Amino acid sequence: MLLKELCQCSGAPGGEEEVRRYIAGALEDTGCSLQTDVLGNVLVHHPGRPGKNKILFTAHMDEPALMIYDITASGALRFKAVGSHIQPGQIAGRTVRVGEDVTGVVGFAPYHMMKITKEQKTASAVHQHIDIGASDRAGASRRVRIGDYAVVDSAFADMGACYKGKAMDSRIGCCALLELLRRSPDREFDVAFTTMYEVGQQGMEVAAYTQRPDLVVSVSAIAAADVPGSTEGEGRVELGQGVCIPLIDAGFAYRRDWVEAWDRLALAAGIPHRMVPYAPDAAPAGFASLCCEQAGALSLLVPCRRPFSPAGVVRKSDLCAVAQMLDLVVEKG
Amino acid sequence: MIREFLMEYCQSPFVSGFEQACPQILIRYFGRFSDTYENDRRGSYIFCKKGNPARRIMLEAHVDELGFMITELLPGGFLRFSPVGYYNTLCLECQDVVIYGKKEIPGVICARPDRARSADEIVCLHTDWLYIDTGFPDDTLRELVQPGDVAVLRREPVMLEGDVMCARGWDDKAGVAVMLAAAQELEKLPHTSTIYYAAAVQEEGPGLGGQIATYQIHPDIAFAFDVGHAWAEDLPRDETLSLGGGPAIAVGGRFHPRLVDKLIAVCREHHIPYQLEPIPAASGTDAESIQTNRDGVPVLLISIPLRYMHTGVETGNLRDIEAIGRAVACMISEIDREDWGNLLCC
Repeated sequence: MLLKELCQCSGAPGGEEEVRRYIAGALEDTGCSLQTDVLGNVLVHHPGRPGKNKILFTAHMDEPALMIYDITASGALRFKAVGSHIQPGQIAGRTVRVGEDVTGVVGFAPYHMMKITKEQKTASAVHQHIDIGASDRAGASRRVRIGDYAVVDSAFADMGACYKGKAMDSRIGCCALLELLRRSPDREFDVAFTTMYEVGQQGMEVAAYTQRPDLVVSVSAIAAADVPGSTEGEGRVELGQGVCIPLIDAGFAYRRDWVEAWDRLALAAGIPHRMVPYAPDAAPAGFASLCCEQAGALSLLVPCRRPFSPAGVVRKSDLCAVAQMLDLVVEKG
Repeated sequence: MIREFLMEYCQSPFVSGFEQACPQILIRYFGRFSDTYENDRRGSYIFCKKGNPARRIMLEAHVDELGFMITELLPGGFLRFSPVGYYNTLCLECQDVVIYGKKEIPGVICARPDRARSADEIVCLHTDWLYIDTGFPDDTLRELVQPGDVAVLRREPVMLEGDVMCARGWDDKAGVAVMLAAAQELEKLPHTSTIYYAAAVQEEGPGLGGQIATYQIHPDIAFAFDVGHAWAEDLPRDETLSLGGGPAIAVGGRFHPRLVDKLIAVCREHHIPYQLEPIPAASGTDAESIQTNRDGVPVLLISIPLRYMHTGVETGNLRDIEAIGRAVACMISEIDREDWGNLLCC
């Protein structure tokens, strides 16, 4: 299953090799031409009938990760977060994959030995380390190098109506676009699977420049707030609402008349969707539009609980809605 | 064998008060080394290797582990829960769980966005700020789960470098594994006493299983096995054990001084590295209730060094388990030749 395998790939920002390899494999017999640029982006050209606009579909491949910055005398690994989405409380007491195949444990002091102050409310990253079972620095150095990336382990699970896994923000986008390429509609378009979203969207910046699209459409996640302890209200994003289309996000204001036009088209096609006034994360589409003044932008967001955590949850029906929406864009865009 | 046993055992649910779901694991492994098996009224698993009925030695470890109990179904496919035993709640956010309802149901533990937790709560181990997300619609969930069902962290044991294993519930499944290692070693050594292997229930709760098993067995000598804090980065060296450093022999008023001396001598003689764990007062283990059972039982406590206790990634070294098993087997074989009246006088 595409999404499961994508979520299980390790893809730190700047270390997306596994995801790249997986995408290349998944497109092997589709007849698409595929190239990797110097930033590590995977650029795919889908041949077909020329359409109104030169469309670039995009999703990012990277996920929040850790980087090893020291190996202590006793063989423990010190790490720093890569990107801003790592929360110490969400990685405490988990296993992580360091580099390609080393398993480690994110350890911290047991409460029996903790001296907690009022200020110290969560496990601080300073007092966390990765334990790979090595007994000294030399032992650990045989398996791990300073600068290696680590990503959390989180088993992908089918929870009935939902899927649960890590790296959801990036991999639901990759999955939706891979499926679009495999459906192979008769229409020419490009797809960019980009690198380093978490650390500044460097991949997207270059891909937008080289592809020079008329319209950029990105697929990523929006945090769903239908959880205990959040305020209920009409504006609340919930699982099952279908594709969310933002008017503004943290990085870009989308052209209202265009968003409204897509809203009408989606309504006419009966695709579950909603407009959201504001999305808290800068979607790749808006960012690409800033990098390439010709391009219009459309951000398609899938509701996901905790999209950057090790335990993202998405609803299957929302994934269907985004697939329908992509088909609509291919048809009308 | 110890590794295979733990791989299987650590994936099986043995939450305190819910220890009867998979007895076959214990029966299969301990059955090879014992003559009789009893699941006592409290639920503890007691295996006996028959020998001289006048000389009874009990090996004891608790069979149960930490877990959760579902307390309330919330709208939207969410569950509230309480910890069973003292989980470190700092390590629970975003962890996978398995709920043992009508069937096994996967879920994830999540933090409430509206609840900032206070430092006190972290230490007091409240779980008010956490809930379980199952992804199920309400009506389906109501059919499958009810308050009172138990859940465990989902964790497949993994081997790290060397013989270091990371798994859920080494506290005290490692202790049960020590009994198995000792049983295996005893096959090779001459001994005449009757040996009981007691895998006792409910240590993480009230600690009743060990007490009742001891009363029933009425041993002359007892060995208790539980886990002890091993040093890891950022911990004080002087308050912790060394992972891979061999048996940690508890020293203090609760542990019979002659037996402690004997075990140290045995370790030295057989070149088994050991460490001492000074415990001035209570040890917080089943050794307490064993010592004051009936007319008093001479007891030894041997700790298995363990990192990250009471989290889902308890990490220990298989070599420690094997070393403890060997030390205990050697000691049993040796004291069998001695006069226990002399050995046990203070």
